[in-house]
Amino acid sequence: MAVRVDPGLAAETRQLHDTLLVVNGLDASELRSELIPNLRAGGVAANLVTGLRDGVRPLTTVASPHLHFLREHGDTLVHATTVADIRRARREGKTAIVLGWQRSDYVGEDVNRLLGFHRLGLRSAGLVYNVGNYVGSGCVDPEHGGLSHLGVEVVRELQRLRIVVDIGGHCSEATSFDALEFTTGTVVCSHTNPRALRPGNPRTMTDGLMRAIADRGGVIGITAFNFFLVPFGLATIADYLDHVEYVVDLVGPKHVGIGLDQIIGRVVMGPVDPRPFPPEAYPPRYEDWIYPDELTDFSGVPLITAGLLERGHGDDDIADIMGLNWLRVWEEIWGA
Amino acid sequence: MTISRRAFLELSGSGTLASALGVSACGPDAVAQEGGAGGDGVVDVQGTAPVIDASVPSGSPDRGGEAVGAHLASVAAAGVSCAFVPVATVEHFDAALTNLVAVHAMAVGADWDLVRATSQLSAPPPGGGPPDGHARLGVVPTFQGLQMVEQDIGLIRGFRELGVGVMAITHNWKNWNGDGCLERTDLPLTGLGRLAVREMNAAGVLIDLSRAGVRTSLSAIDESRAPIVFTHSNARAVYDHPANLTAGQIDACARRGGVIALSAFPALVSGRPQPRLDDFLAHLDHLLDRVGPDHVGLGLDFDDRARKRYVFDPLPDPPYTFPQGLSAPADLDNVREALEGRGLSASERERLLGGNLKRVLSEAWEG
Repeated sequence: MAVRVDPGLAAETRQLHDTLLVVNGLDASELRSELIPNLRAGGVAANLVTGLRDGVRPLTTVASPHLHFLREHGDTLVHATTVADIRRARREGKTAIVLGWQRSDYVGEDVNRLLGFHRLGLRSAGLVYNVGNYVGSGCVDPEHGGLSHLGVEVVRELQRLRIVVDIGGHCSEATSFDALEFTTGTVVCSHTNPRALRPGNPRTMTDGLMRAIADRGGVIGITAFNFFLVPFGLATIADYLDHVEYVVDLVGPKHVGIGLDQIIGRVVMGPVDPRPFPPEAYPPRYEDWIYPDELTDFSGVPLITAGLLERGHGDDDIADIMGLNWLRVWEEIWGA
Repeated sequence: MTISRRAFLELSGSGTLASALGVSACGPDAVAQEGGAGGDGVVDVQGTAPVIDASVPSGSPDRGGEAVGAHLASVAAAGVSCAFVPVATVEHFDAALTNLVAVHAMAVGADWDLVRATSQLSAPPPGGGPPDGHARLGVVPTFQGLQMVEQDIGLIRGFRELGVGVMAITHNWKNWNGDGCLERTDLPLTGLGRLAVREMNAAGVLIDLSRAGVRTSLSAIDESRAPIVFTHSNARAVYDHPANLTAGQIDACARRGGVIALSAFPALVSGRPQPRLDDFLAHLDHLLDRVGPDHVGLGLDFDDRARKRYVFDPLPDPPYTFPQGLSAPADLDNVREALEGRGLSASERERLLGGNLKRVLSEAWEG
């Protein structure tokens, strides 16, 4: 869809967007070659993808398809494990890929496996994906509770290894607050939306948890998933910007990022499994797992910059929201 | 041999899973197809109560065929006619299937049989004694947790076809289905856990809640349309331990027709360094008093191995000092003797030693 942008704004946007270091805090797309030019078209310098797993199962060998993909595309991609890698990728005109998890029960019963995953490049880890697992409870569980014993060990070990602890969103708020108790310093939520703007959807986040994450220096990434933006009908980029602005107003521009959560390249159709994806949280058919037209893929990312400019945000705040906030917390957690 | 999880799932319910794995099919359907019990040299003496031990970890296949054979022989020699043998606890799919296939391999030519229907459960010969060919030990493979299934509850049916007749919803810790008794949290079944319970009902699996958390077990009892079992648990009122049962759990289990199989595992019997037989019997008396003789059984749980799964596991390290007078299968005679001294009728004693467990097996397996 063609998006009408005022010519003056377009010029200003291009000038600003090209100077930004754009970082996407969570991407659910398939890691395929088609993704690479798309990331470049959107000016995305670093993209955190869900990797180091075997489909939805734990990776039981070191033969990670994600690592192979990154090696095969070494001319255009950098497997980033430090912020220096990300900056180097940008200097070299390449795109940085960061590997993370959306659930931590991939460790099975052995927390010691996390060391191995860290060595393979794991740099961020969610805890529970929607439904309760060995680690804690999920956002769509009938009743929410805290971390399990294993979950306590997991968050402690993640911090020891300097892997980002990614709470909220898919995991329940009770488990998220428990994770805050058992960790110190910065934790993040890679991708969610404010409950205040999307009440009734358990996959969204309360103001209280957003404040708690910000109080610890963290960042909250905002998704562009249509059903998290609006309860029915088609969301637009204006809705996305409303969500970003709501959280900026709540916790300040240093604690907000983009975590678009797109699913580029996935061609699943038909009914979804209602156990992890109940209808109050997700559209019941995959055809309706959509995004605002402008944000269906990465080529529309400059329009977020344009929208923030148009709504009067300063260049520095925009630079923070579009990527520098993620780099700040990643550098702090991963080390230089 | 084993097969992939995907192939296993596709073959589950097709009736061809067992042959694909080169083992004999188990479960109600397989037996019905053959026109009744029979097979495996087991003599059907239906109507006489078998003696059942609902927790015989010493028969677990990962100990190797020789050790398993010796352990099971000692259990049979004590007059036990049916043993529930865990083949997996927190193992994932591949390991659980490997263990299960190993049990099938060990059963070939062994002096025990895999139990395929409750009509195969026989009483021990008069006076107990070693198996004499007329009353061979029956083995029911069990899962003590559902880690091997994770979110693919369709796997339950396949494992049932391969003979796993009893499955626990979770073991001590939290999993996809609910919370364990040693967890930090005490939530009811998850949505997936409720579906898993229904699937176990539909597949003809007896549900074991022995190491589930209090609220998870209560919601599973509510959800299940068949009676459930606690395969190795004692009463908190007698010895307060998180793996023992609250009055609410005991009452709910009995109200739904279930059975609590009492454990001799020392950490669950009393706080003494070496518990006494009387400490164990105090749990028995408590249950008889609370729910009567139709809801009590034995799950003696003689085990000599470390059970620690996690660094935070509070269970003690071996060696385990089992109660004086109840430290080995042969001590079952001491329990028999104690029962006789309690004014129970012969029929009540039979039910308590195995008839009750046979009843819940039958309700779960054959509806």
